[in-house]
Amino acid sequence: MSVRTEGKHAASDEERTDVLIHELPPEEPPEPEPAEARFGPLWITGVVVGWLLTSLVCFTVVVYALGPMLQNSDQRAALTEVRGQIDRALGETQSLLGATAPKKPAEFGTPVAVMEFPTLALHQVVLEGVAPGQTASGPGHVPGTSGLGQPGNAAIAGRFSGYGAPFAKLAELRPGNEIVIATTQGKSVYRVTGTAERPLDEGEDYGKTGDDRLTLVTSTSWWPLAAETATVVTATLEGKPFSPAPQNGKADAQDGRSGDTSAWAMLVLALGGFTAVAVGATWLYRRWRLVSTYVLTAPAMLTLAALAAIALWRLLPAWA
Amino acid sequence: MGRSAAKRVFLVVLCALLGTVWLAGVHTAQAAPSYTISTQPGDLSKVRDGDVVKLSVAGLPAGASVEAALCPKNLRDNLIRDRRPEARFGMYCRPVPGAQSLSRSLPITGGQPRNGATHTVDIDYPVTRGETEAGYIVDDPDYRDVYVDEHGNVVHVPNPKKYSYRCDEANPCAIWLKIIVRNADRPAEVTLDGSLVVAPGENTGLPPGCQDPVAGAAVTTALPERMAKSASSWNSLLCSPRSAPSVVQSLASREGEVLAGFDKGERDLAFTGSGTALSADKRRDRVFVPTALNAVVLASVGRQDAGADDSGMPFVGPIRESFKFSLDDLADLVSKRTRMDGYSEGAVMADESALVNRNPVLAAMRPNLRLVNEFGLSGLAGPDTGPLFLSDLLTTSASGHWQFQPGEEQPVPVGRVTSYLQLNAGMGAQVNINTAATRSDLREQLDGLSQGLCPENLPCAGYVLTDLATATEFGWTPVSLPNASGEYVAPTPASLAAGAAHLVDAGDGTLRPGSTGTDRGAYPLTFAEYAVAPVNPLVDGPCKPRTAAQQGLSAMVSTAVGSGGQGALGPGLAPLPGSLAAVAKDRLAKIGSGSVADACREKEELKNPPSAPGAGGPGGDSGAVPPPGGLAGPSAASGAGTGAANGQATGAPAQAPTPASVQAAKNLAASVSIPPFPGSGVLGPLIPLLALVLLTILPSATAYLAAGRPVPPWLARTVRRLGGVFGRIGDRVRGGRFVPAGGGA
Repeated sequence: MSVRTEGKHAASDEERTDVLIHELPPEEPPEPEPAEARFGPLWITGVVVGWLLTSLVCFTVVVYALGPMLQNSDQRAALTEVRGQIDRALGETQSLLGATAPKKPAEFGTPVAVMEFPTLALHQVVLEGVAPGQTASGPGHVPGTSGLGQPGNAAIAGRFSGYGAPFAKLAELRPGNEIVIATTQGKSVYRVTGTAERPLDEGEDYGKTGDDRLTLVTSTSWWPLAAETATVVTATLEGKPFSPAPQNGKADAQDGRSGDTSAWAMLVLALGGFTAVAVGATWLYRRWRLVSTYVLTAPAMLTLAALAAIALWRLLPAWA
Repeated sequence: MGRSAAKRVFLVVLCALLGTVWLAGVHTAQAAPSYTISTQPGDLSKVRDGDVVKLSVAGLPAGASVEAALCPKNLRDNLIRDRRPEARFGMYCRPVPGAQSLSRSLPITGGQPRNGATHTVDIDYPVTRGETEAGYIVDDPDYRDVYVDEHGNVVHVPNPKKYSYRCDEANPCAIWLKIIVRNADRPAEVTLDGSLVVAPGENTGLPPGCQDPVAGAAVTTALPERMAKSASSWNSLLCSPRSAPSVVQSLASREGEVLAGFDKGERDLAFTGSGTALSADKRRDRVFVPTALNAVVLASVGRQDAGADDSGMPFVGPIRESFKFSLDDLADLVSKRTRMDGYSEGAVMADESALVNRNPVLAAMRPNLRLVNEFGLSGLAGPDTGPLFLSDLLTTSASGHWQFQPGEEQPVPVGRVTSYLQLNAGMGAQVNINTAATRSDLREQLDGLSQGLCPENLPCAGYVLTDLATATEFGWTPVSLPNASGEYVAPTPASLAAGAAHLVDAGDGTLRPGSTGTDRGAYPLTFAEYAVAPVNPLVDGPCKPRTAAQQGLSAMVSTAVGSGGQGALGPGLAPLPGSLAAVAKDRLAKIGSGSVADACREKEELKNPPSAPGAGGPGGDSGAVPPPGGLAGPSAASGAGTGAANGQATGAPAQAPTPASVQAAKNLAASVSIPPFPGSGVLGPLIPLLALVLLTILPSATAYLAAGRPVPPWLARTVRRLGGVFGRIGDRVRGGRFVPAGGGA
């Protein structure tokens, strides 16, 4: 109990004083002050586990949550470019001299066709090349195989799970389904003849064939490191192929299931930068104000985390 | 006195009479020799650029010769010194080339002598329209940089003009003939004749007297060049009498392209000799109406001894002798030309070969000139009835010789080919056929043969694989081929009519050459030229019937097979025999007999590529345009299929991009829409947004916690409250008593 006096002045014991006494409510116990962690083996273990989990989550989020948006953005740009190419080709065919045949292969990363799967309600712009950086933007035309819509075997590899997973439903294609390809030469219709899950056979799947066909290839597993078993869809061309055009040669690694080892450098730089910024942020959070530290370090960590995730993903099989 | 006067009058009259008689005699002696000039065609007012006019001068005395030159109708008269007509003829005219060699670029030297046998001088004049530049002008001060004037002064003219003149409808010219009669005892008599006036018209394909075709109402027609003259004549029969607009709008092209245009619905009417054998897409419903007889021929071009002049001196002229080739000779020549010249052992042109022994004109040539090297065999490039029927015949009747053999390798059978380009494919780097893209190019090649490779005034020969209409039009002489009875037969209207009796069913409503059996008069490579017309009516873009064009189409084909049209066939074509004429009349009724609905459906269907894998025919390379000149290696034989990028040769021939195919691709690309965010609904943008939030917070939160800093109270409270809210929601959901907030107690 606490006693509080009210009056104009304090009275001595001898003087009679008019005193009002009120009973005050009991005070709540004060909230305990948050305690700072104590450094030790447990703290170190916690920090390491925490950063590993953070890295894993960032890696996953970048590829599976932001990746589709990035892929869509690349696809939109590629679609605009391929529309321009087709417009120019149409103009050439209507000119006095007619269409001119391409004299050199398409550059890697440039769009070469628009692909439609009517049964899957799926449209994709196909780019030249099957390096992980190219399949992150869309399905890639396997170098060394025939041009799309042209005589021989034309092969395309695409991602099964990452970056929008354009080929996730490839195994749903059934014989008789249509695949339509639009290139600067015209529209070609392929009809699916078979779907199989088996180890990729480069000689068979990317090699010579007696007919004019399209071979679509992707992984069978969501596991990013899976590089053996493939979903392979074959489709034969209906009608006549268009005139063959020069194609890029194929290196061993350009098979749709190899990683891009050149991404190591980018990964080291991005991860190193991220580690440095993370250490700096940790130190600043311990010594400085929270908000200021956040404003200063969060953008850098976001950027470096995204770059590191992208670089790491490029090391993994291109069809993942 | 009276008697004397009468005597004087008598003497005067007598002298006058004698004087008159003497003068008449002198005049007669000095007058130009009497002669007659005939031309073919007779009416020169309608000649067109590219026509060949045959001039024949008869009635000349022995030893006469004729020079021909194209001059302005009125010869310019501005020479300083020698103003005689002969001098002006030499200055202001351009000699007509090709009289002796049939080469349009080789001028006559010394005039064309009178043929001692026929007593005529024969000259071919290839009509040229447009600007003509005269020869070397010496004495005209307006066109010479240096000349000597009438006073003997040397005058220099800076930048003198070039003398030229036009020959066309508005600027008539004249073919002047310089007739020279040489006499042993006095100077040669020279007579100039400028009576042959020509006003060459442009060769537009539009018949004279017709107006330009009306778009939409005209029948768009594609035809091989060999049918151009006939089609123009049929068109003329329809539009010339009333000066009406042309009924058809024609495009002469290679046969493969002709059929490709019809197949895709881009042309209303087409002509072919081989049904659907060269068609890449057979979906368009069509009716074949026979219109004329033609033949695949090997024609010889060059010079042979054409006779002797009146002094017995031989002179050469175009080959007129129809050589006799066995089918083995023909197969060897066409499949192994580079090994068949006169100096190669065992070659068909070598001395004492069966071919040379059979043909005295060839035997009289030097061995190396019987097949002028490099340019000795020509043909049109691209899918065509000619290579198709020729290769079929040689495959069945001369298979032992119808083989490629570029070197010492084992022979390889040639088999069926649809383009002469394919005959180069089997010869490695060697070229069997010197191909040309158009008939004009082909003609230029053969002119070059006479000009550059045939030595002057020596007999020589080259060959061209073509059809009878083209050979006749260009003055090439077809060789005789043996038929099934072994008789050598030249292609003539009679032998074509006999050959038509042995045509066999091709399975698509047309006839193709068959065995001639024991018929000794039948030419073995006779074929019928067909008009290809749609069964369904013609419709326009919005699918409305094109009534006027449909009527024009029926009228055109009816005219072609009617008596008028059969009488107006182009050179070399033979009219239909009775059986084929009856077939033609039956089929006229089928043109446009379908429904408009079918026509519209078909029109839509043709917009897409053919769906059946086997739709491509052997002539499916029609879109590929080989280079003119045709020094084509294996890659040029596109009809045999194309190699894929991975090196695999596939069965189907490739097609070149067309406006329709690229438009289809454009339509597909235009129909594709890629949204800014993947997925549908609100989750599309929400997931990347939440991901960004997480990426923004998580590393910083980890760093904060790693720094050992406590969780701020406000954050702990917020987390606790959020946890409580989600916990309560979870409880209610699990208990089946979910009540929205504010929903009442």
